[in-house]
Amino acid sequence: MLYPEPMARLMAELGRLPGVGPKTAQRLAYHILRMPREQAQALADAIVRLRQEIRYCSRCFNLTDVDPCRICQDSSRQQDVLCVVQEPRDVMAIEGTREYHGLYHVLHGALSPLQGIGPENLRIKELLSRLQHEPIQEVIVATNPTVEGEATGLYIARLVRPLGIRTTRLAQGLPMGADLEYTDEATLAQALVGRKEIS
Amino acid sequence: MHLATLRLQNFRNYPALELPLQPGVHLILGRNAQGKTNLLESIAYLALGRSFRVASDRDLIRWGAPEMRVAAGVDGRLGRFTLELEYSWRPGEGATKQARLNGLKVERLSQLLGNLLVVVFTPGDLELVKGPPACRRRMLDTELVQLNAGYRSAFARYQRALAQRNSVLRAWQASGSAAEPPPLAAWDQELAETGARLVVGRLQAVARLRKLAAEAHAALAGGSERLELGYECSLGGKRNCLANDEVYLFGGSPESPAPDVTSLTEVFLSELHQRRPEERRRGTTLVGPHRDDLALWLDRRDARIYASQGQQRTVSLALKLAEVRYFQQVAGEFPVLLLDDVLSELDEGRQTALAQALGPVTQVFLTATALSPGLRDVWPGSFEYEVQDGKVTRRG
Repeated sequence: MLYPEPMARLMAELGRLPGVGPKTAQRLAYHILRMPREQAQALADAIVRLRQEIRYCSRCFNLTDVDPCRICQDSSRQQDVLCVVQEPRDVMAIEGTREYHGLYHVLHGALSPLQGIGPENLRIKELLSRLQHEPIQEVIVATNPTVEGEATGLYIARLVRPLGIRTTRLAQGLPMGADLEYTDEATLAQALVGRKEIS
Repeated sequence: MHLATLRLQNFRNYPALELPLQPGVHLILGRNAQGKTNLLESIAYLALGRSFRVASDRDLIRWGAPEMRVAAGVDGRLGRFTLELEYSWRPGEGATKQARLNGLKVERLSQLLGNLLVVVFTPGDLELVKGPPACRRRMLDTELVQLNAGYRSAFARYQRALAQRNSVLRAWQASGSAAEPPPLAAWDQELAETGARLVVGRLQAVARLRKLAAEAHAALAGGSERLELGYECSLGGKRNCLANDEVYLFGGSPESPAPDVTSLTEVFLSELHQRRPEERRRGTTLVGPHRDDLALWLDRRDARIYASQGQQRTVSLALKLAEVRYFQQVAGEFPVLLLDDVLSELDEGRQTALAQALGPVTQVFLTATALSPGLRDVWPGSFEYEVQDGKVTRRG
C-alpha cells in the first residue's frame, strides 16, 4: 500500500531511530497522527529545541544549555578532583549518588581501534590541557569495566601519572542489595580480591 | 546429569518435536539426511549457545520459518531445571536471540553456559591429533567455558582485546613509522591479564587430563603404548612446556602447581615487549594462548606428527573419554555425551572398549545409519529411536 507522502516521510524518519523497525515506525506514525494537535506540536518543538539549545560544555564536554555548564560554573564544588567518564549519561549516574562533589571530564567514547576510534577521536588532548591549567590533584578514572573501557582507563592513567597527579580508578565489586548467588563469577572474583576488613 | 525432555520448534528439519527421555544409551538410527545429527546439534546448542557445525544461527532455522526454539528439561545433581533458547530472524528487523533459565530470561547468553554440560564427539574430532593446533585449543576451551565461569569471562575479554590489539598492530605496520602507537601499551595490559587467566586455566585442565587420558588410552590400546599430554605455551619459548619430566614449566616441575595469574601476566607483558619489532613487521599478536598447543606424545614420539591412522583414532577417543571423566571430577556429575556417527569409524574392538568405558556415563546419544548385527550386543539395554524426515519414533 502507498502512504501519503507526509505519512511515509515520518515513518521513514522514525525508522532511523535505534530499536525502531518498520512495524513500530508505522504504529508510532499512526499514533502521532491521532494525537491532539498541541501535543504533536510540543513533540516537534522539543526535538527542534534540543538540537538548537543543547551543546557541549567547552570545558568538560558534558551536555549543557549554558556554557560553561552548571557543574563547571559551580564554585562550591571541589576544584581539585576530576572524574573522567565515557559518556554524558555517566555524569548523570554519578551525580545521582550525591557522593561526588568534584568536576568531570567527558571523553565521548572509548578506544576501539576496530571501529577506528583512537585517542585523537576522544577528548583526551583537552583533558591534558585542563590538567596543565587547572589545579587538579586527583584524577578518578571512571570508564566502563568493558575491555575497551579498561584499555582507555589504562591509557589515560599512563598519561596522567607522569604529571605527578594522583590517579585512581573506581572499585569493582558486588552491587548493593543484590544476591550473591546471582552475581557473575568475574565480579565475585574481583570483589574477593578487593575485600575489606570489617570495622 | 540427563535430559528428561527435549522440545524443538522449527529447528533444522524438525517442525515440531517433543521427546521424553531417560538416563541410558540412546541409539539414534536412520538413513542419511533424516535429521539424526540435527538432534544432537540441538542439545549441544542449548549447552554451548552456538552450533558445533555452523557459524551462523540463521542456518539452524527451518527453511521458510521466521524463528526457532530449543528447550529441554534437565535432571542434574542439584535437581530439575529447564533451558530454552530462541532465535529469530526477520528481514528488516534483524536477529534476536534469547535464552531462558527456569523460565526466566537471562541478560547475557553466557549465563546459559555451564548449566547443561555436554561432551561432543564427531567424525571431525579424529582430526584432534594431526589437525592444526586450533582444534586442540578448541577442545580445551569448550571444556573450560562450560566448567569455569572465570575462564568464560576471561575468554570473551581476551578475544576482544586480541582483535583490538591486532587492529592497532595492523595500522602500525601500514603506517611504516617506527614510533610505537601510544595506546598499544594499554592493550598489552588488558591482553596480558586476561590471557594469563586462560593459560592458568588450561594448565590446570591439562595437569588433570594427563592422568585421565593416559588411563583411557591404556584401556583402549591394551597398554601397549603410553600416551602423554603436555601444554606448549608460546610464552617464554619451548622451555615453558608442561611435558615430559625433563621439561620445566615457568621454573617449576611438571607436577608443581600452575603459575599464578599475577606472575604469568608479568611474563606475558615482558614477552610482548621483546616481540615489539617482530609484531610491528608482521602486524599481528605473536604470543599468547591463541598460539598455544596441546601436545600429544605416544611413547615419547610426537603423535601430532608420527601417529598412524589407527593410533590417531585411539588417541582422539582417549582424549574424549578423559574429557568425560574430567567433567565428572570437576562438576561432580557426568556430562551428557553426544557421539555423532563415530561408530562407523571404529572397528569392533574399539567399539566394545568404548562401550565399556562409557558404562557409568549417565546419558549417551549415539547416531548410526544402520543397526549393525553386533550393535545390540555392544550396547545392551540401549533405547532405539528411528529418525525419518524430522520425525522421531521409539522402537521396541
